[in-house]
Amino acid sequence: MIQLFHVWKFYDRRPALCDLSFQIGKGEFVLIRGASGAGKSTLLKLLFRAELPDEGQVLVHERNLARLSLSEVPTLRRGMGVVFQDFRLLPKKTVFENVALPMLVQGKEAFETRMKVAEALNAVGLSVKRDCRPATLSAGEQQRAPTSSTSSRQFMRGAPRWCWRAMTRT
Amino acid sequence: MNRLRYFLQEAMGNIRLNRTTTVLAIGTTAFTLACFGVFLLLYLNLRTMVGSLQDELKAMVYLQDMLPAQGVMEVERHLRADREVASLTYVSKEKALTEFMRAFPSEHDLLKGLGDNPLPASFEVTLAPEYRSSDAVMRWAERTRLTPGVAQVQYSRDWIDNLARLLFFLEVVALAVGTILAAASITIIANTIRLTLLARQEEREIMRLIGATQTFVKAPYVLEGALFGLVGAALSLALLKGGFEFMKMRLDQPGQALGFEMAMSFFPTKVSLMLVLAGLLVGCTGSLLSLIGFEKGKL
Repeated sequence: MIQLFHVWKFYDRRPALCDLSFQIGKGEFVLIRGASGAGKSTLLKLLFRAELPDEGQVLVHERNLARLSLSEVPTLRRGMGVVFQDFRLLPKKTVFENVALPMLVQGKEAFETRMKVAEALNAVGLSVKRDCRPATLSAGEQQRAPTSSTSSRQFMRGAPRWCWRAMTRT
Repeated sequence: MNRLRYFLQEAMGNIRLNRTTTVLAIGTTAFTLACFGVFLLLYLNLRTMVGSLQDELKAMVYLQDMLPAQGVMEVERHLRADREVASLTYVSKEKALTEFMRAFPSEHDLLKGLGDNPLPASFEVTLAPEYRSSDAVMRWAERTRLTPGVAQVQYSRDWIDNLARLLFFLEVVALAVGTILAAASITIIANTIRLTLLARQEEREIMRLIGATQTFVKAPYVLEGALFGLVGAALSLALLKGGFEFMKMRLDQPGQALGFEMAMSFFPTKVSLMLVLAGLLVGCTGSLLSLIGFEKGKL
């Protein structure tokens, strides 16, 4: 459950989000669209607490994100899957290692990680590229890699254009 | 296990990223520990030497010339009753002369010129270990000198004390040199790790975004510092061992020619392990220092 109550966010006194309120229930699939600069990325940043609202409240599972301590933020993020506009893949790691990283962070066992990553890569058609570095992948493949690692969690994605392309492929 | 392997892989990756500074950091750590190790080696060997010399510390209680047997027995009874005396051996005038002849065969004529045996009878006294300090020996000698029948009391405490003073001096110098060099080593390690931190800023940001804790993000850097320290310590031990064996070989030959053997020994395993731990501590301190306040509060 995600809830926003009268959220305002300013950058250099310019409003990026103005009095935003909505609620997303469990199992809902929501698409947010808007022109460039409309505040879509800002909204995502507020949801995984990369930013804090200047006014209003953001609640995830009924917890006010502004009240989370710094040590609670990783726990919040581990329960989310975020695919970024710029893919955010670690360049020195293989596709397999990149996809496995969130599970490693969660402290999953090596065997379980191997199984799940293989499954996820297979689901997005990247099995053959498992040992490749991100630089050798096409843009579409680069976006599918993080998608596979977020499949089992609360899922958020920036940049709808890429999202749509990736979703149609998977 | 999975995480530990990951941390190790990351630390090795960091090391590969800054090869030159890594070599510099490891080299400084090795040099620091080797310098400290040289003083420690000297200190430990000298301490062993002083200890064995203190065990052998003997005082000579010379008796008055022509003291009758009854008088000798009185002195002996007095000494045996003294709790500061651990053991004693009587050296008669004749035995003293025989020993003198054996020790100085070329000085026969010197004693012949003096007529009768001029050497006094004496008691060779070994003091109890708890009464071997400089002050205690001096007080005991003063008191014993007043015993009827005793002509003189001699002991060779001074040069052992000088050696002990040298030992203390070495201890202070080793600590001072060790501290200064350790500070230099810690600074270099901290800077090396800071370079890696700057080079991998983006990767850490990604790690944080996928929910990695600060500990998880920073652990590879601490491990990197620890590896610097461990490798540096191992290298310093190898250097010290090589240098020690070389010096021992060089000192043993003239020693044997002069009729004595150098009883030098290398660090026992416990001390070697402590040196490795010191390296580990230097490495970890360097890395922790570079991480303190770095990206503090970053989300």
